[in-house]
Amino acid sequence: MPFHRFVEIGRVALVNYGADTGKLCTILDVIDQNRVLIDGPFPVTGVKRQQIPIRWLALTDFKVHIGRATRNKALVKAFNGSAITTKFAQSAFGKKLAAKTKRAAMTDFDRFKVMLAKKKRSVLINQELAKLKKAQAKK
Amino acid sequence: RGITTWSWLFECCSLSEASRGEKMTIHQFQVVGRGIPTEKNPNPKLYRMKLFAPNQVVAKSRFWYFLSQIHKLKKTSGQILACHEINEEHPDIVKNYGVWIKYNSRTGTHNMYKEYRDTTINGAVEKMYADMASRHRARFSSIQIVKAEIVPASAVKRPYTLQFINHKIKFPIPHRVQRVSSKSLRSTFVASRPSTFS
Repeated sequence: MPFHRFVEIGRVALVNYGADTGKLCTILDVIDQNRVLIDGPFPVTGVKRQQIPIRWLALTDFKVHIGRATRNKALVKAFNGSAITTKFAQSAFGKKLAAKTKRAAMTDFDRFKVMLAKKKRSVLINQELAKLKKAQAKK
Repeated sequence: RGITTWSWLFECCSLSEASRGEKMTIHQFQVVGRGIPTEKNPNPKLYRMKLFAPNQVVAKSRFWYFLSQIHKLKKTSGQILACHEINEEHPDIVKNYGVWIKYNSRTGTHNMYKEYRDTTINGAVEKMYADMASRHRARFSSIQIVKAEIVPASAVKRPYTLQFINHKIKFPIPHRVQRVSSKSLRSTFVASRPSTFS
């Protein structure tokens, strides 16, 4: 089972713990077995330049082409150049995350709408299922 | 008072919720002192030390500890002229720090050279104290820092530090234990074993 996501310079990760939970960041340098130096970049994702334990990160599939410990301006250019924010939002990971935050922010009215939509969907499914059963019974 | 001696001791030693189990945060101070001017010696020599201590109080105390070892000067016969904190010049880049120490073990006193990778010298010195405490049971008071400075990558000695000096460093997380972002989301029981593949 080969690994596809690595802790490396330029790897985009999601912060899973601490004050910046849920924000994307880029790994700028590896300090240690357990710690890395990250930066949002701050103007793009809101994560300041800091040390962070690897345990607090979730690696994504995306990588930015930068050198070791790039400065802010070059990092923003590389990050936006690779369109990481949009690419991440379109990825499966990003979509799941968006769905989770949406679900957590649902009001009772939203839940009501979801209930109605689920009912409609199950009606359609059952109609199709009835057709298939009928076709099977005829055989 | 109707309480046992152990619980009384615990109450005396207990720390606040926030500080219990936290590492001591180290700061670097520059302390300048001299002997108190007398008629015989109206302009005593100034002595300056760069120290690592948790706060200014300890810094000043350590200043006198070292000064009295080297010169015929002590707190009662001297005065501290300045005690300023020295801040890190470039806290946003990772550097290799070499720390030269002299420490007292239970049976003797030894010199050591240790290396740490960190963004600040304060962080490296904190790591050193934690490392010495865990590996050699040496406490803050038994350790004297002879020198703590940035070591260029070409001069790094320890294999543990050397393996991270690589601009193309790349490693996977073979066994990733996902950490829950908040206690309320933690579940004691789960239906299926979590995947540790990253």
